[in-house]
Amino acid sequence: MVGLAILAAAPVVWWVTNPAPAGQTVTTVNAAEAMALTHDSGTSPPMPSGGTGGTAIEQSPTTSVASDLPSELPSESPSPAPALAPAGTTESAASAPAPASTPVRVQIPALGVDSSIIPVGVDDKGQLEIPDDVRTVGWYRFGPAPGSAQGSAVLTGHVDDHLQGGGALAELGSMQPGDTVTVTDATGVPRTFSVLSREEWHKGEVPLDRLFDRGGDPRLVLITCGGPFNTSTLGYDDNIAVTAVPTGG
Amino acid sequence: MRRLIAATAVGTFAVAAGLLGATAASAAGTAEVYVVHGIPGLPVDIYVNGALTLDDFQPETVAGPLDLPEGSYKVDITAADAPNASAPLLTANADLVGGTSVTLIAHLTEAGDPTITPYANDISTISAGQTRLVVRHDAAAPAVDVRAGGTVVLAGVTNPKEGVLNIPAGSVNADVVLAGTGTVVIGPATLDLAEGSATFVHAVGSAADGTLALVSFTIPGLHSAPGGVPAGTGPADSSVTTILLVVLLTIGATAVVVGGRRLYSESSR
Repeated sequence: MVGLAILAAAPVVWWVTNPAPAGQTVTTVNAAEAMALTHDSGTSPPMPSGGTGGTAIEQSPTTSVASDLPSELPSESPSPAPALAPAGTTESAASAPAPASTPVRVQIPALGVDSSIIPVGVDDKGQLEIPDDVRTVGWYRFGPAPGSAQGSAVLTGHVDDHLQGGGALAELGSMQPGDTVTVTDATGVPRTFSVLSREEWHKGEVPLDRLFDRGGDPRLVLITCGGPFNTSTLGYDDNIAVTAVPTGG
Repeated sequence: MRRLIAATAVGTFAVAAGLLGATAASAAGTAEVYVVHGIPGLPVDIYVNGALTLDDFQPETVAGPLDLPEGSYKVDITAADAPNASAPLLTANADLVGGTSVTLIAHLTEAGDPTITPYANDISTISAGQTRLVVRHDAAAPAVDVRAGGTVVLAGVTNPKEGVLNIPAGSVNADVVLAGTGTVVIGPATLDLAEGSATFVHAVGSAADGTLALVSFTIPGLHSAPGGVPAGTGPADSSVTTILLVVLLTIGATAVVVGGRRLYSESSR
């Protein structure tokens, strides 16, 4: 009898002592304000084009048609491209402001977070690369740096890891509007941001273009996973993101 | 130089970018045009529909982008000191389609004759983390291979064809060799290929005259967001939990077995 009781208790004990998934479920706050930070200004979107094949366009006759034209067409000064020099990144149209320096540290007093930042790119599936060490925060290096005059600077980190436990951003969903985030760059300059909004979406519905927008108002986006943990995909169902705006401090 | 003065090349072309599927969003109705000067030693003036548009345009330079309303244009190229467009060296007619990006390059054919070639610039969106490299053969030279880091990435490119590569962003050490050989004719050069940008490289000049060179420009702003944020791999497997489970199951199973044997031995007396 005792044995049966112990056998019955075993799964209960297992369930009680097993660490819970760290994914939070949060109420959305100020999503509209976050959306308003993106606008079609700054760098103009590229004109859509059908793309080219491998060959040049063949010459073919055309009928000439009189068209309405201004009497003087704009003439741009040529941008020199010396032979054998690097192609470089000659900016056309609007030139970007001087970029802020690489971020190296992030402090979030409301969460007790003081973490180092490393630049991250894209993994081999085309998704945001996340630092392996859950205590380290990643900065999306192809987007603006925190402190840039425009666009969304993105910071990320694992909410948890099945070997390491809870991550630096595990409590991200607990942040409230007005909480501060301070990012220090490689030259030692600190920049403080104030939380504006907090949002959660199912992974298929995350507004990635808006969160990774390189134009629009300057802002900081912190993003991690949330929601229920899916034991068949071994991933979380949702993403949680907090958007913060510069305080000028 | 003599070839150039003698050959008043008249070429007409329709820039068929529209056929390649410019989207309905070209309601903007303008095309952007980059003009590349790939003829060595000859500064020129360029007239568009009779209006002087590029004055004293130097070889191996790029002008633009010019934003032009869609429609038909007559392009005349004269020597830089010509008083007007009445005796152009080269003439072309172009139909520009709104919403497209186009390059017009004055360059030498493989045989060394001056000509104008239009290209549609691929400004479609680039995947996150990637860059686009377009290499165009616009030189009086035979077929070439383009190499990156010593490995051939575009093989057998002839004048005036182009090759398009979508590759991870970063620095590339590139050179151009005679096709199928290791004979370097241009470079090496370090190309810093920025993420989300398209870089258009034109090989120009004359192999026979020793004037081969690269002329390039970059179109930024073609980036896209990553496809997702996989930021969590689940709660930590806890060794405490596993040990507890094993211990409890063992004790429980043993107790059941021992109790069962006792019952059996009692009932079998």
